[in-house]
Amino acid sequence: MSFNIYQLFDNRLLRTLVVFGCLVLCVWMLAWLLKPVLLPIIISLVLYALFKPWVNRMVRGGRTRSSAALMVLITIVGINGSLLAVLVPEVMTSLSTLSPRVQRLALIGEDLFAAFSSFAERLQLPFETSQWLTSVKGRLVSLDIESILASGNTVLGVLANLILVPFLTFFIVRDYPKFRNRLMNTVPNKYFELAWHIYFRVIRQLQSYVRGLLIQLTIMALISALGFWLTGFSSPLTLGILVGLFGIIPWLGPLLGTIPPLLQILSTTEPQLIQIIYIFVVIGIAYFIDNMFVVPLFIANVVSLHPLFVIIGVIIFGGLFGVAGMVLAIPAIVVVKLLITGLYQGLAIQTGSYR
Amino acid sequence: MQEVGLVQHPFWHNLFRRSVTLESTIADLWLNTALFDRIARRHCETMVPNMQLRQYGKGEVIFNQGDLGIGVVMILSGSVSISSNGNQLALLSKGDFFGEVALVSDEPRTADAFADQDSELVFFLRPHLIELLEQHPPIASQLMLNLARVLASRLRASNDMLNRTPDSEL
Repeated sequence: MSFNIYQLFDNRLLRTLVVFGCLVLCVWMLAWLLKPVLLPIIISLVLYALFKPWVNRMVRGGRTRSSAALMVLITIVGINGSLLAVLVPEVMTSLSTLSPRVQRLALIGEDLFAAFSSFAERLQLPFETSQWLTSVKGRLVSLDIESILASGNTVLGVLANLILVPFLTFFIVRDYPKFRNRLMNTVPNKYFELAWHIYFRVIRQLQSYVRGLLIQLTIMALISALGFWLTGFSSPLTLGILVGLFGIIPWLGPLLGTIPPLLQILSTTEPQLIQIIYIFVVIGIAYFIDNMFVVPLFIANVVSLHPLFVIIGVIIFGGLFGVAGMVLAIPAIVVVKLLITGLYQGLAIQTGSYR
Repeated sequence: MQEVGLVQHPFWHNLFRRSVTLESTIADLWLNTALFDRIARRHCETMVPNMQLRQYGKGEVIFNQGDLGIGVVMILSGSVSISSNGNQLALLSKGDFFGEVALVSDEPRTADAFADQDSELVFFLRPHLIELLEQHPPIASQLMLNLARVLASRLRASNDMLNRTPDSEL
C-alpha cells in the first residue's frame, strides 16, 4: 500500500496548521530582516491606527491623502517637541533628585545584604551572597543620572527613533492602502478572497485594540497623576505617566507601577507608612476605575479572550521575548486566534482549483 | 484632400481628450452597471485604483459554493459561468457583475463560479466599501442604495421563478 503525502493535507486541521506555520515562519523571517528598524515600524503602525479616524475625517473634508499625511507628520513632530520641552526637564529633575536617594537606597540594601550574608553564613546556607550584592549594587548605581547620560548609544537610538517615526508614519499614512493592495495581489487566486477576509478581521480588531489601549492608558495615567498630586507626592505627572506606561504590561503592570513612587518614599529620610498606603490606594483606585468602566467600554468588546489564555500567553511571550513579548502578548494572541479560526473556516472546502 | 468619413479635429483636441487607460475602461464598465447608478465618473475613478484586477485561466474556479466571500466581481474580459449543484444558472460576459451579496454580508457564497474562457476580473471588496463609508459617506450611501436595489430585483426574480415553477417540481 503506497503512502501519498498529499493525503495528509486532506485533513482540514492539519492543513490549517501547515498554512499557519508557513505564515508564522514568513513573519518571523521578515521581523529578523527588519530587526534594526522593527521598533520604529511597529510604533509607526500603532500611530497609523491611532490617527486613521482623523485621516479619514480630513479626506472626507476634501483633503488629499498626502496632505492628510503631512498634517499627521506635523502633529507627531509637534507632540515630540512638546514632550521633549516639557517632560524631559521634569524627568531630569526627578532623576537628579532621585540619584542621591538611590545611592542611599544602595547603602540600605548593602547593610541588609550584609546582615543576610552573616545570617546565611551562620546557618551555613549554600548562597553566594557576595555575588548577589555586587550585581544588585551594580544595577542600582546604573540608575545614576550620569550613567544614563553616559550610555550614548541609548540616547542616540531614542533620538534616531524620534526622527524616524514621524517620517515612517507619514509614508505609512500616505501609501499603506497601495502597499496592502500590491501585497494582496501576490496571493494566488484560490486563496485571494480568504486572505482578504482574514486580513480584514485581523486589522479591524488590532486597530480597535490599539485605540482602546491608548484611551485606557491615558485615563489610568491621568487618574494616577491626580491621585499622586492630591496625596502630596513630588513629580506626580511623571509618576502618573509611568503608571500608565507600565499598564501596557498585562497583570504585572499594577505591581510595576508601584515601584517608582515606592522608591521615592523609601529614599526619604523618614519614610511614612501612610504614604506607602496612599500609593496602593491611588493605583488601586486607578485600576478599579479601569476594570469597572474603561475596559468594558473600550477593550472588552474588541478582545474577547479568556483570562486563562491571557495569563498563559503573557507568561509564554514574556519568557520568549521579555518585556516586549509581554506587551505584545494580547494582540499576538488575538491575531493567532483570528488566523487559525479564519484559516480553519476558509480551508474547509475540498474542491480543486480547476473544472 | 480630406477623406470622406474621417473627422478632422484641431491639434489641441488631443490635449483635452481623456486618454483611454485600463482604469478608465474599468470605470466605464462599472458606471454602466446598476451598482454604480447615479455615481459620478470622478468618484468612480477614485475607487478603481483600490479594486483588485485578477486573471483566471479557462476552467479556473473563481469561488465555490460555501467559500467565504469578500466582494463583488465584474468581468473585464472573457466569460464566467455561474452554477449551483451542477446546474448552470448563468453565463456572464464583459461588463456583467456577480457575487454582490458578499459586499454586505459575511455569509458563504451561494453558488459556484468558474472562468468559461481566459478572463480578467475586477474585485470590489468589502474593506474598500467600508473605507469609502468612512471617507466619503454620501457616495458610499448611494452605492449601498444601489446594492439594495440590485439585491431586491434579484430576490424578485427568484420569487417569480419559484412562482412559475409547478408545485410538482418543487
